[in-house]
Amino acid sequence: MTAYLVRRFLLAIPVLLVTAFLVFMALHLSPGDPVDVIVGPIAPPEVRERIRVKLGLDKPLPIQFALYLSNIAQGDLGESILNRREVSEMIAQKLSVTAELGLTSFAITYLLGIPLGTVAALNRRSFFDWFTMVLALLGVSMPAFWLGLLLIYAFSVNLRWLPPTGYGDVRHLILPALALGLPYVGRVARITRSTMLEVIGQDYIRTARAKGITELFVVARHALRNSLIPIISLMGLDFGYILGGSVVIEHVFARAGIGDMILRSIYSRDFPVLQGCMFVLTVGIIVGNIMADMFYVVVDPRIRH
Amino acid sequence: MKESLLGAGPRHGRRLSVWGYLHRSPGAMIGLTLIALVLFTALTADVISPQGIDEQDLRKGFLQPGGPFLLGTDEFGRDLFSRIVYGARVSLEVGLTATVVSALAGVTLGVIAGYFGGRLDHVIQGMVDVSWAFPTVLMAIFLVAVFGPGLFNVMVAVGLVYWGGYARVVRGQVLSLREWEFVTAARAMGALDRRIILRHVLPNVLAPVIVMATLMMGDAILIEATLSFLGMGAQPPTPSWGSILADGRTYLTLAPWVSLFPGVAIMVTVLGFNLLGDGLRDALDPRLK
Repeated sequence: MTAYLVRRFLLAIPVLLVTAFLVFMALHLSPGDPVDVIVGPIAPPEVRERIRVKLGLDKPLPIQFALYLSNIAQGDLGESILNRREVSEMIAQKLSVTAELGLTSFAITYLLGIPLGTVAALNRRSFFDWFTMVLALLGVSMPAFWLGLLLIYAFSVNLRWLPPTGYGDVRHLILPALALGLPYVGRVARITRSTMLEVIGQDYIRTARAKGITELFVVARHALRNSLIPIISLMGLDFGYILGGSVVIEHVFARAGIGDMILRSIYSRDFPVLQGCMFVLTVGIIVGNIMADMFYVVVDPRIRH
Repeated sequence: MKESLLGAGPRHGRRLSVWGYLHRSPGAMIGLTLIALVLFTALTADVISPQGIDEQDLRKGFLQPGGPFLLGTDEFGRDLFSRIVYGARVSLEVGLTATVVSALAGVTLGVIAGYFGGRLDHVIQGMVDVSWAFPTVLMAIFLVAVFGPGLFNVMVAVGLVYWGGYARVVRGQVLSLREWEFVTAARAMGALDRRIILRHVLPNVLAPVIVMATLMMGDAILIEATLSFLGMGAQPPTPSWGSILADGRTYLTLAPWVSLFPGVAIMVTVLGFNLLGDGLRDALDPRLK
C-alpha cells in the first residue's frame, strides 16, 4: 500500500516538471520579444532593460528555467504585470471560488450519473435505458457554455428564481455547477451501466441471489460496489475536465475564480498570472488523479498486492 | 500481383459489411444525415443564404425570428440565418483541418513508435503521456493564448491537443500486428520496412483511426466554438457559431434567439459526428466498444 502510493507520487514528478516547462516556455513561444509581450514595443529602453534583468531574461534559457523551478518550489509565482500583486496571493484568494464550483459539479455528475446508470442496467432495453443513452449523447455534443446561457435564460431571466451571475451564497452556485456537471451525467451513467451489466453476469451475484438475499441488497452490496471500480479511475480524469471546463463556465456566469483569472490574464497579456494559474490548475488535476488512485486502493483491496 | 489480390479480397468484403452494418444502425444513419445536411449547408452557403455575412442595417436590429428573417436579426440588423449558414463553413473547415493534421501526425508517430520500438518509442510515449495529462479545453486555451488569437492558431492548438490519442491507439495496434504471420512472412520475403508499413501495417490500423477521427471531428468543432466564444478564435466579422453565441450573450434578455440558434447548430453538427463515430466503431471494430 505505502509502496504503491510512493510510486504514484513519484510518477507525478515528471508530469509536474513538464508542466512547469510548458508554462515557463509560454512567454518564449509567444511571437516576438518577451519584453515586447510584457510592456509593448514603445516602452523606453531603460524600462525594457529593467524588466529583462528582473525576469532573468538576460540569462541563458536553461538557467532561466532552473530559476523558475526554484521560485515555484518556494511558492513564488512572480508578480502581475498589471497591478504588481503577487500571483500566488491572487490565486490563493480565488482558489476557493473555483474549488467550490468544481467540487459541486463533480458531486452533481456522480450523484446523478451512478444511480441513473444502475437503474438503466437493471432495466435493460427499457425506455429509461434509452433515455440515459440520449442524455449521454446530448451531453457530449452540447457546448457547456451554451447550456449555461440556456439555464440563465430559463431560471434567471424568465422564472427569476436564481441570480444569473456573480459569486456569493448557494444560489449563485446552482446554475454554474449544473452547467458544468450535467453534460457528464449521461456519460457516467453509460459507463456505470456497462460495468454493472458485466458484474451482474458474474457467479458471485448468482450465488448471492441463490442465498435468498433481497434484490436491493444484491445490487447495493455486491453489484454496485464492484462496478464502481472502473468508475473511480474515470473520476480522476473527469476531475481534470471539470477544472478545465470551469474556465469557460466562470466566464459565462461572471464568477471571479481561477478560470476567470486565466481569461482576464490572456486578454490583458498578463503572462505571470496566466502562467501561475495554469500551473496551479495542473497541480490540482494531478492531485485529483492521485486522490482517485488512493480511493481506488481503498475500494479494491486486490490492488494493494 | 498475387499478393495484392489476396489483400484486396477480404478487405473488399469487409467494406461491404461495414456499410451494411451502418445501414442497419439507426443512430449512424441519423448521424450521417445530420452531417450531410451541415455539409450541404456549408457547400451551398452562397446560394441558400439570403444575405452576406456582414450586411448591416441598424434599423432592422433585433428583429424576432419568423417574418422576413427566418431566425431573426442581431444587434446590427444582420440576418442570423445567413450568418449561421456561413458559420457551418468555419466549423467544418477548422474541424476537418485540425482532425486531418492531428491524425496524420499521430498515426505517423504511432507507427514509428510501435514498429521500430526502442528509445524512439520511449520518447514518443512520454510525449503522449504528457499531452494526455491536461484537459483538452484548458490546453487549447493555453496554446491559443501563447500563439495569439485566430482560426489558424485554433487549428494548430486542436491538432497539438489531439495527436496523442491517435499515436497511442496506432502504436498498440502496430505492436500486435508486428507479431502476425503475414508481417513476418513479408519480412522473410525480403520486403523493406517502408513496404511492410505501407502495404501491411497501415491498412490494418485504418479502422480505429477512422473511428477516432470521426469522434474527434465533433470534439474539434466544440473546441473551436469554445475558443471563438471566448474571443480567441474567429475574429469579427467572420461568423463562427461560437462568436455569434458570444455576441448574443450580451443581449440574452432582449434577443435570446441570437444565442439559441448557433448553439443548436453546434449541437446538431457535433451530435452527427458522435452518432456516426459510434456507429462506425460498432461496425469496424467491436473491440473498441
